[in-house]
Amino acid sequence: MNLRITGHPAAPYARARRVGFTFEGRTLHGYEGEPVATALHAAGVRVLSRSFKYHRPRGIGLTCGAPSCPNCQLTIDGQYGVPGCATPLRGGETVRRERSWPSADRDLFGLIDRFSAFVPAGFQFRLFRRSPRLAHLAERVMGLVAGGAREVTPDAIARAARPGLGHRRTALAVVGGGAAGLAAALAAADAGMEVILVDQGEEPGGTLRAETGPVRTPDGGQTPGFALVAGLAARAAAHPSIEVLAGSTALGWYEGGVLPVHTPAGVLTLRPERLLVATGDYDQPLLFPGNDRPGVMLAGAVQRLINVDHVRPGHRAVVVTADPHGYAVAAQLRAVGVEIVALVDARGEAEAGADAAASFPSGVAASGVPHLTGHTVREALGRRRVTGLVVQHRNGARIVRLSCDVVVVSAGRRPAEELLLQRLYHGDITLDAGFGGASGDGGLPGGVAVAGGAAGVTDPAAALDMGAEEGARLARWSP
Amino acid sequence: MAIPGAARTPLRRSYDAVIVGAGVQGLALAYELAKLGVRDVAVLDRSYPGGGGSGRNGEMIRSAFGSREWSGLFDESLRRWRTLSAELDFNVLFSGSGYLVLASTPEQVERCRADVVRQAELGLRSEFVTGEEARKIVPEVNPDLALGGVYQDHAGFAHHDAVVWGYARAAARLGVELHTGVTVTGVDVAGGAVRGVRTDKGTVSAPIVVNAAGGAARRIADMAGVDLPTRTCRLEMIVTESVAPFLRPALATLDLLGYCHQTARGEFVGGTELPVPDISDSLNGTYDLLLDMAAKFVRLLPRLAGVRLLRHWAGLVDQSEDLSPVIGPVPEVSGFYLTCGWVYGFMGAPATGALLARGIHDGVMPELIRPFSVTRLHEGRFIEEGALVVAAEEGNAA
Ligand SMILES: Cc1cc2nc3c(=O)[nH]c(=O)nc-3n(C[C@H](O)[C@H](O)[C@H](O)COP(=O)(O)OP(=O)(O)OC[C@H]3O[C@@H](n4cnc5c(N)ncnc54)[C@H](O)[C@@H]3O)c2cc1C
Ligand code: FES
Repeated sequence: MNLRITGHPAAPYARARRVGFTFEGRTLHGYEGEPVATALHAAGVRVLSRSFKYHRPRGIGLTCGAPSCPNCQLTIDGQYGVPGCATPLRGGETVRRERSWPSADRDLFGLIDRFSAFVPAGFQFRLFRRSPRLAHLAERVMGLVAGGAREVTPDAIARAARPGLGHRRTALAVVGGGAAGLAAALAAADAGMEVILVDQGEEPGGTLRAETGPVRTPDGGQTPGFALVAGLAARAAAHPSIEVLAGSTALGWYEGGVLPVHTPAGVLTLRPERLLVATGDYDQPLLFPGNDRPGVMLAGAVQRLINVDHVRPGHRAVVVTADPHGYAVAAQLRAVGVEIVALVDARGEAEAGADAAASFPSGVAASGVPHLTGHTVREALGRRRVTGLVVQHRNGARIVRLSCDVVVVSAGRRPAEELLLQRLYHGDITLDAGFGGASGDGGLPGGVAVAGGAAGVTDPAAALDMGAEEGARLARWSP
Repeated sequence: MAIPGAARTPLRRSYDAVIVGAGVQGLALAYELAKLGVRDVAVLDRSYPGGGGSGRNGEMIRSAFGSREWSGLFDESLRRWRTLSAELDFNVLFSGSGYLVLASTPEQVERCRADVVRQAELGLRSEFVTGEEARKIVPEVNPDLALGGVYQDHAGFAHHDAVVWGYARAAARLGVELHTGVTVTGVDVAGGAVRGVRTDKGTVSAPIVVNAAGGAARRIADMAGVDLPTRTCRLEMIVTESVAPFLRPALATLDLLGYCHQTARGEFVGGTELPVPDISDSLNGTYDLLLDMAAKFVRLLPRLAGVRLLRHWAGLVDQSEDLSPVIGPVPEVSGFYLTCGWVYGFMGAPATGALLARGIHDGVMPELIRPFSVTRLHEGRFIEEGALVVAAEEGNAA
């Protein structure tokens, strides 16, 4: 069965043009504008990269959204370390994988992983400590596979060197164009403020772009998440006081209030008077042996694949969840023709059932999907792709082996608060300084606010409200 | 979080010696003291071991300097670096793959030529290399910046975290207690002798107190009423994502005030300085220097264009007027010792730890560290070391 979804029941498809590209000597096809990693996945490529130390195979969706995700880095047109999940396919490019020899599929150094019992974490500090010569040799051998950038072309160097775009002052910079950021930018702009909205995505919308489920709107109605943010994004784009920088990343927030932004055209150095951080949150991975096998994916990554890219992650999925979101994604997967092998929830029946109710109104059991409550994951099976998941009842009595080609993990979220931490991390570091302070309301300097997922708010409707409130508050603030 | 070497027992009320600062200096000293039999030692740190400059430095190691004082101490250190993994029973990932100081102007070439002659007189192993030879050692270097240089084929770099862990664990094995999360707030002195320290976890008495507090060294000296004429400067570094190995030796350039190397797993690690010292005790990286580093390293090694940065950080060093370390006892307070003023305190640690321990134990400072006493700064007898890659006020040491 093809992984491409045709006739998606809930989300319209925006990409029309099929284009070709070269992948390690083969010609593959994908749709213009979709992430290169998605195009590879749809074409059946499961291993996108190899991990640094043990050369474990890594695939799409494993750490999607995490800052500088190392698992989907590709060499594209001679430029290495290009994030495959965040780089739109244009057609005609040459794509290669990195960090493996002779190829990422059959990486000889993957043997390191097979013998990982003998090379435990930190092994490099124990190995060859008495033999400087062997240590030196080991270093050279490691160099055979370390790093990307094996074929740097003068052309790639020239393309990488882009001139800066200079400095710009602005009354308010909003970093992150999800529900909270869009609401904040609109509220501030409606109050007369000049706003620059910075968003990493090809278009703003954030996680809700991939949400087909209903979200409560401020007027009390309900609308699918993607439609809600599309409406807000359209308003922002048309607003005379808002400038949207899409495909752009705020690199940091430095002394003197400097906020350099990496845009597709080069680096623009913003000097905002006010800053709103609405950078959202990340899916948390779950700890279990084999949790990095290609095919183990985060719930948000899966939603983006099916609802934005219209590509199935696989054919038979086990969904491991500890929150309502996992159940929603399971229902959405079913709606696009992915078989749900089982729903696994470590919590008891009552709690799990309550979280499942919104997505499985007549109960999970009634839908024909086994609901393994009270079960935790023992391990994922398979090597170059996941072939199964072993789960165990928490009283230890029951061990179930599930056969699948996708494992979806929904295990909670973590605020993307790096931008704030970077700046607020002045002076002494002490062990008990903790990181909690940055997302609380204490501790933030005047003119700076945080809203939505970055502030630990996971409910989309609440994120919208908070964004609007903070945007309006910053518009009233004066230095 | 399990901290390697950290004590599992509570902080006691008295020790034979207290070392303030669990950087590479404090830990190397603790290890060497214990080896000499002074085992009732506490190393106190307000942060984690290596949380100061020792976990934030460029990891560069050489001994080819221009003065008798520096050459003697750092050559002894280099000798120790080469067997440190075996000594500590921990692979500190020392890489003796060479250290090249690059000259980019005819004047710098002449200076390098003179340095090598001087180094030979001092008994150091180093060689002058022509532009062509330099380009053979680092084929990827921008030829415009490689007119010649000083090369030390047995110097290099090591993994700074591994060095800190290695010393901490080795010291702990010998009975040293490493206590993290303890801030020293005062130094008790009575009758011209040190009596111990005050901390946020209580008072600790000790007849020997060593100031190894890195960027905070002056503050600790003040607490003891000791005049340490140094200042705190901020330095910054970047690390890129892993790229295929292209740079074997450690590389420093006089022209760009930059130093860099590539780790075995491919990350490019480097730092630059602006011509004027950045007097600050902030640990924030600055955008100005980030741009400076990015631009200079791409100029130096053009193939770095487009490589993504993994990290950027700042660290503090304690800098004296002649940029040389301050090691040994102080005239005002007996029992109070310094290992401060370190700008190259990573590469200097193995020798300094051993020699200062010997000096504390014997009551006489060994010859190699004697020139670095604090009195030289009070008396204006500055050490003239011209082969540093450091920002200096007058730009002379550049
Ligand atoms: C960016 C950068 C690059 C560098 N590159 C190199 C290089 O390539 N080669 C080289 O040789 N050197 C280099 N250096 C210098 C080198 O890092 C330092 O000289 C060296 O680490 C100093 O070690 P230390 O143990 O004296 O101090 P630190 O490592 O700074 O340790 C001092 C410790 O004291 C603790 N402390 C401070 N105050 C208190 C208190 N009141 N109570 C308790 N604990 C306290 C701190 O928490 C800290 O852990 C560099 C430095 C920086 C910042
Ligand atoms: S962002 Fe790297 S796997 Fe998706």
